[in-house]
Amino acid sequence: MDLSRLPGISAGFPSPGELHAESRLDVNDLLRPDEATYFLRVDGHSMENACISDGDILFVTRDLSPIHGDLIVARLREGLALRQLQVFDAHLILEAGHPDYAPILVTAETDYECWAVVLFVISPRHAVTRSRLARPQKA
Amino acid sequence: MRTLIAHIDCASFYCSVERVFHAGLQGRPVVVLSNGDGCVVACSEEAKAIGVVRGIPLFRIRRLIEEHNIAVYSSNYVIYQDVSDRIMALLATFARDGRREIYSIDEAFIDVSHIAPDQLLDYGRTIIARVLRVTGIPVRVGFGLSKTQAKLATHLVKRDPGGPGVVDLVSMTPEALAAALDTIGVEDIWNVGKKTSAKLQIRKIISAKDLHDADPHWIRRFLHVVGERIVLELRGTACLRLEVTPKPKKAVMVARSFGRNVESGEELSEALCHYAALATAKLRHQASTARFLSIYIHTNPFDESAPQYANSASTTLLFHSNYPPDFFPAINELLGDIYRTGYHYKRAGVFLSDIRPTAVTQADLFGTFSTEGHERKRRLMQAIDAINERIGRDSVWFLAQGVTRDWQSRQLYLSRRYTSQWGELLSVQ
Repeated sequence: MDLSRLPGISAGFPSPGELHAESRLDVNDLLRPDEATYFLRVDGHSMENACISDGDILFVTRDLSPIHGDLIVARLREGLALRQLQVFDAHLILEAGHPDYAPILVTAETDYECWAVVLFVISPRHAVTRSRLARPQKA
Repeated sequence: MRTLIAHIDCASFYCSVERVFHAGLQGRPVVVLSNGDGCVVACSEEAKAIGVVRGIPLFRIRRLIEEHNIAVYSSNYVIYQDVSDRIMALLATFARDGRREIYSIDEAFIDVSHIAPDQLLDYGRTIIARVLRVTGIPVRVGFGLSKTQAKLATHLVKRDPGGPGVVDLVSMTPEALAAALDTIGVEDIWNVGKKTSAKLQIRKIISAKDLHDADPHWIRRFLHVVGERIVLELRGTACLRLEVTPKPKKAVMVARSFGRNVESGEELSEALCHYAALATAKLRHQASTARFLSIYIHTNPFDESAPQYANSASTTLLFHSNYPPDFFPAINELLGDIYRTGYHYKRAGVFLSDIRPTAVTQADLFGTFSTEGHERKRRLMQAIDAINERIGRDSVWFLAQGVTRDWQSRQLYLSRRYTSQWGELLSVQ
């Protein structure tokens, strides 16, 4: 019998932490994609005061009812818009975070729908991460 | 316990998906075009109202598009499949023990036997509201004691566009059910094809009620057991099981029209090899292999001034495979037999059948099959499929499929792949 072929047995004291091991934090626990979530890309400066920049990525869900103060993606006639929802009595106001964008008062005539509620903002801070998210150039 | 079945059907699915991702389409007519932008494959209610029908060639509706500001999209199956997966996952949560059959990209059956019959209408409304909220897609729900009944129920929903979107045949009185069935022609019953409905109509069976009331044994005499089953299903006896695990396809076909006329044999070969590669990708996806190969090529039948030619050819490979290069030599040999110079080819297709699960591999008599080679091919395709899934379809391919592939029809009105590519996310202003 070739003793060198036997599996090694580790000797010494077992680690005192062995029974206390917990799995390391994983960003996927926070950003868990499901049937209701989407990643979207911020295009422009409408929420600059809230430190959301052009090119940032939003992680949004369609499965939450928005409440006062939520950052939401509103579907308006012109397109999808990132705004802060404000609720005063029965009035809804979509507030931008930039002086160039006037607040929108939602009335019965407004073509408005809350498309999704923002859960996280992901901001690429390096040329490498930015380029991964860049739009491919059309040939 | 009797089985209660719900049939769920998305309304103008492809158009509804485009609407979710493009703001400003509310109330505007929308159409989605076939793979090569050739004709309309889906149209919204608004588009139907102004005379657009499925199957009409794009050039025939150019004027309508201008006049009514119709929104036109190329078919974007990447995104349609993603939204479909979301809907199917939601529907499974409404099914007893998750028992759901995915019938097509926009239709499903679910087992709802755990719901009390008098609660079904409410349950249907809940399903509609939940799917609409999470995915933005409007759906219709029909309840029945069999799949055929459930499908008839959603058919009835379509008749009532302003209604709640739910029809329940289970809690209808026999009189009400008879009245409802009397308004449906036999040709609109699930699994009743053109030939079958002709056979029925000759025998004075015109409406679903006539078929429901017919003697199943008499039906069996000329429509065999399939026809008898339809009668029983109409009467509420479930004969067709819920196919909870998808059945592997028995044949795979990829056929496309070219973006321009193709004359050379080299380009036809590229196209056919490319289609074979797409077809084998489908095979690998369902873990199966094929051995029977058939190809066809034809000129443009709409171009009456050009000489016409169409032909097809088939062969059986020495062994089952889902590795594209195993098919390429056979394709070129078949093409050599049927290719004629001097024609403008418009369309080609590849058809694979004699399909078998990958688990079953069998050596052939002549020793052309090697287990070692088979394993190498399997691993290569696994790697290629993984890359293409990750960074986009068609990132890695075989040279035989062509490099520029400028014979491909272009999709001029294609939406981006919002859910599978970081570079193509939906924008928010």
